Amino acid sequence: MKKLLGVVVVCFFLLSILAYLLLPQSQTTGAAVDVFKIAGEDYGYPSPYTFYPRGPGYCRMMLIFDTLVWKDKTGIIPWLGSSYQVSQDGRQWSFQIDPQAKWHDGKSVTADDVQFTFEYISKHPHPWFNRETGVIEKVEAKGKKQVVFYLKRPYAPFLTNIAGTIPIMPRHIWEKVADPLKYTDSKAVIGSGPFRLVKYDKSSALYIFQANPSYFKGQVKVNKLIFLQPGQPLMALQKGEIDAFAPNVDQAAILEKNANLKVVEGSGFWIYRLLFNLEQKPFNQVEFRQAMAYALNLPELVMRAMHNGATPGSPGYVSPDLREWYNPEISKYPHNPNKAKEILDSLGYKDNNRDGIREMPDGKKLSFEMIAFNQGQEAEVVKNMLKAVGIEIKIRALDKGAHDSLIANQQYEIALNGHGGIGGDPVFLNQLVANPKSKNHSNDMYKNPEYVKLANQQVKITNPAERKKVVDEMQVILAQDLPTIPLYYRKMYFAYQPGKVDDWFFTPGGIASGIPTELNKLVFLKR
Amino acid sequence: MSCVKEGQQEQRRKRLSKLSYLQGRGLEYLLTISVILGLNFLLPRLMPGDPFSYLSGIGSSSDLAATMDAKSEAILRAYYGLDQPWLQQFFHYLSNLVQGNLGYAYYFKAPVAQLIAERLPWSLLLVVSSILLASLLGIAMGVFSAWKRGTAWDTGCWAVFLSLRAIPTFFLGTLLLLFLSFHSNLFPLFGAYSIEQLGSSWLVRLKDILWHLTLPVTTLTLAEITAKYLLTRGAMLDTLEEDYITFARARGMEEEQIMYKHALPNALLPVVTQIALRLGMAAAGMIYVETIFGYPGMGKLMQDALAVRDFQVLQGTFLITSVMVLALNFLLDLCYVYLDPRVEVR
Repeated sequence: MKKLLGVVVVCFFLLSILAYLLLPQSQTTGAAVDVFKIAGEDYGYPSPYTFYPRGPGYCRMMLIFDTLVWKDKTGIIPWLGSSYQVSQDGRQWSFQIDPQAKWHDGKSVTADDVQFTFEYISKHPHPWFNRETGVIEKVEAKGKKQVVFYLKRPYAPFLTNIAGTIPIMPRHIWEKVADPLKYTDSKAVIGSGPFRLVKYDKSSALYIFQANPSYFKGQVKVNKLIFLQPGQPLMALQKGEIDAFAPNVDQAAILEKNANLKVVEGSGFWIYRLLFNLEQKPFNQVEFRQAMAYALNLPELVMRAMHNGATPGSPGYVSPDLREWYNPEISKYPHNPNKAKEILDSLGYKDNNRDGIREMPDGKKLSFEMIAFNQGQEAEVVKNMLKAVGIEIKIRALDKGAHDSLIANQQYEIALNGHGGIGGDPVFLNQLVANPKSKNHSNDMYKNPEYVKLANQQVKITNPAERKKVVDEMQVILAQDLPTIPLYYRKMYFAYQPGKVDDWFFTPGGIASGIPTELNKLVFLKR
Repeated sequence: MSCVKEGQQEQRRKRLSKLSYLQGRGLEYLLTISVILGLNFLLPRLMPGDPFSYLSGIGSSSDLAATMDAKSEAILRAYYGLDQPWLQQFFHYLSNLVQGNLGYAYYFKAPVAQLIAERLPWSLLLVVSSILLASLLGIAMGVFSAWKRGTAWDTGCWAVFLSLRAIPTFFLGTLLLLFLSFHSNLFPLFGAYSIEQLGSSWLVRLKDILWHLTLPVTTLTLAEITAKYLLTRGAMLDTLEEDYITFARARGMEEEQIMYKHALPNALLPVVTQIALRLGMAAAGMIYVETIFGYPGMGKLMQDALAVRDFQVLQGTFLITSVMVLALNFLLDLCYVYLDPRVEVR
């Protein structure tokens, strides 16, 4: 028994040492100049129907596929559509397909592929791509290289949210695919993009992309782009085993001190905000919501809960990072507890029994339950700030699924909620009102008729200057009414080893329909 | 002559009774599996949260600027079978199972069996080797401690193993990673294999896999060893108090012989039970170790599936884990019946 035990233990350690002696260099010599490694999780097979419905999943898929237009540091640029025109009435969009564009299997990208893509998506609903395609009446290929979109009505976000978001798929492959949500064949990753997929291991979150040598938009700088999942990316980057990763704010602060690394910062277009049950007293009173806004010290909240890794919320909902659409001329609520107390007093909410919590005229305490999902210190900070003006908050921390379920069913008094989808085109402002075509009305309690009217108007105005006026007005109304109080907009960071790929940037407004990312395919192209 | 006949009959009676005992246990296991199937189906569905919201990015946490239209939503819900009543979904699940199909993962977009097959070998490699190593070392040290009871050796072992137990696994793993990988380059920082070795010969890959396995196995071994040590030490101390041990000592047997031939076999039974049950849970993976070392495994799959409410994956992974626990339990029953004369079958 003793001998057996000894043999097993010694064998294991000997094998480990042998393995170490034989392979110590294999890790360090692998990172040649033509290899770039980024840490990340598994986001699904990078094909149009099988990536996980998350921003990073879309970004990886878009390394293989292309859209008609794309975004650079300045805004929208022609892509597969080498040029485009819109008719006077804003209902016809015509694109010329780049004659150099080819699929990875050598066939040319044609107007017919574009027509096919949109017809295929309408036949096979896609969790993401179908959302705004209802506005398209038909898509028509005119010859091999021209395609025209006919819209039912002018649609302002067409270029960003449809032409700049939906990947064009090759007809010769997809026309035979009956069940795209289960299509994970190697042909499912034949695109026209700068990279081809050579390996995907779901269990290890490993993606190996190889440069497309005949990419129509120029030479690809990185020969092999690898995504992999180290348990400790911070250590892996410092040790040089990966070239880049997206750290959180605290990790970014550590990495910024390292002279051998660079960190870039951008907006995450992710909002953390307070939601109210607007049909319940006192949340149905604008003045009460304004008092709450005055009671909240947002810069302090950002400092304490996010370690300054966020931008304080704007009462107009639109993030200041969304530069051209942000309206600074709106009602503001700088931290002013005395003003909050004055408003509450004027509403008749006074602390008559001196227990620190105000009461309504009917004697009911200003004491509410606030649902929050298990994330950070925000709920505690908000609770303490409101307590200082006499509003009691009882926090109910839930797991994300339970939390979202309560919000969807409107079973809350106050909710702390965080989500993305506030970048790109300001069509996201329409999410705050009910969408008659949707089954899900999670935020449908805001019913200001003026706002609803402007929301319907803004998507039809194709002139940016005119549209800006309407979007500005919507922010004015939101800031005045405060149906929701934005607490902060989260920032994103990206840390990398300089010397390989150095042009990292966060696309203003996010790529496609507003996905915040550093992973813009332009970074990998010689331009 | 009649004595021989009686003896044979007695043996036959015992064999039959053991067989019927095992048949009875088999039926119990079948019943348990049926209950598990029901629970596996029900539990994920009883959790609040709509799996469709994760599949499509709708609802209050949507990261998209536009909502999904009701028609597309209806088509997609029907596609995933989420529009069906639970009973219908349950029958569908059972009929798939009968055909050996664990279902198709909604969120992960792959057959559940494939998702499990990609991860289970890594989990088994990690957990089984750690538990076996921890058991061997723990038992050896437990016996040693009991042997040296009351000496500085015993106290020293006790203190070391209790201290080990007090260190959280994730902290222990991070320390090992920091000192044996990050600072000293002795072992790799993450993963189960090097990408650079993907095209190499099987021998090189095997070495590479072992090299990657060392730190995760060491962490898990250190995390598991104390339980085995304490259990063995306690059982050994109890056994050493028995009369037959005193008698053996009185007969002048060597201490080593008493330990390994007389005390250990009896003391090992509860330890073996604990090891077998722990091995049964190997299919559930080891989430902390997987996370720290970026090691593929079932733990992370289950955690991710829970977060996105992928019912199919939850059902499949729970089922595999349950079946493994039951299988090992059954094996243990078999071993007890045939190996431990004290287990009487009535």
